[in-house]
Amino acid sequence: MNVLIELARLLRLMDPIPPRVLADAEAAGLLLRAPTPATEALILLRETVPAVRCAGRRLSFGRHVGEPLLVFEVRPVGAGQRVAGVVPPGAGLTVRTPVRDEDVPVDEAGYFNAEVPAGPIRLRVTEGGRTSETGWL
Amino acid sequence: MDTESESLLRRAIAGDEVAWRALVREYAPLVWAVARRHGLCRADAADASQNTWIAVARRLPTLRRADRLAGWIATTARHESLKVRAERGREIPAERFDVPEPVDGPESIVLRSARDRALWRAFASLPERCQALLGLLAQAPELTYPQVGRALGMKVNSVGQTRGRCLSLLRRRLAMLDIREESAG
Repeated sequence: MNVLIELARLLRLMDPIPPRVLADAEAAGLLLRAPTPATEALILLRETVPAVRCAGRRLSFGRHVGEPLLVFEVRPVGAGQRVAGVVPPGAGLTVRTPVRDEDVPVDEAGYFNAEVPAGPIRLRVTEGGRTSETGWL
Repeated sequence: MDTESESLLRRAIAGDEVAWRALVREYAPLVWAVARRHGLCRADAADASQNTWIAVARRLPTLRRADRLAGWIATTARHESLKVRAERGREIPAERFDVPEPVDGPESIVLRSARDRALWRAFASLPERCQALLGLLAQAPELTYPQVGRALGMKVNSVGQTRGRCLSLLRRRLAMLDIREESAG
């Protein structure tokens, strides 16, 4: 085994170039044929904003003082995404998508872990009669 | 750069779409590797990659030395990666090179052999600097040490030594997992 060759193979498997990146790169060739600002704007407009940027980033929401109300991460899993994190013990959590709301089981320590469809989500925390909700993520 | 690559480059500069696509296919892994080695998550690496290719397309006609294409693209990718990282600035996401969890997720499907899982685990346990260097050397073996140095912002004369140290560390970790190399890498 040549370790660098093996490593290259694993990196291709584990961290493949998204097809969108290749498509955008190919589209950039338009600039060689029609090098105008309008062409560049067209190429940039092709970009689609991922539903969740930088999956795996830890996000936290809360009030201005005290412990955060909600700490969680979102990661892509297959065709969907996994939302995992923690809310205050005893709090309830609802994951909202554009098509439905889903109550997520929270354990006694406040931890939760749920798979939801890909796309924008927002999280609603209910605690002690108060409801707080994130924006669309 | 050989005559065929030189011809490809000239045709791409002249606006030949097929030639440009061939260049993209050849160097996209390099651009992606540089972006990811700068700690960008996949979404941000996609932005850096797109910006890199726009910059490359815009400036390609000014390239005088065709044999410097790989290094020039790598340096451009570094600049664009640093720009994206500065824009995101507040935090560097912790997505990179996580060791796969033992569940039926994509990782466990992709890394089917115990050997692959061991190598990935050993690689993921290396210091970030080693991951960046070995990852780039693995994915862009055509780069010279000076080009690698420029792509990663390392002193050129430290690339060889660091490579040796990182490979040695990787091999020790593989040995601890009872994985042996059959030939030197």
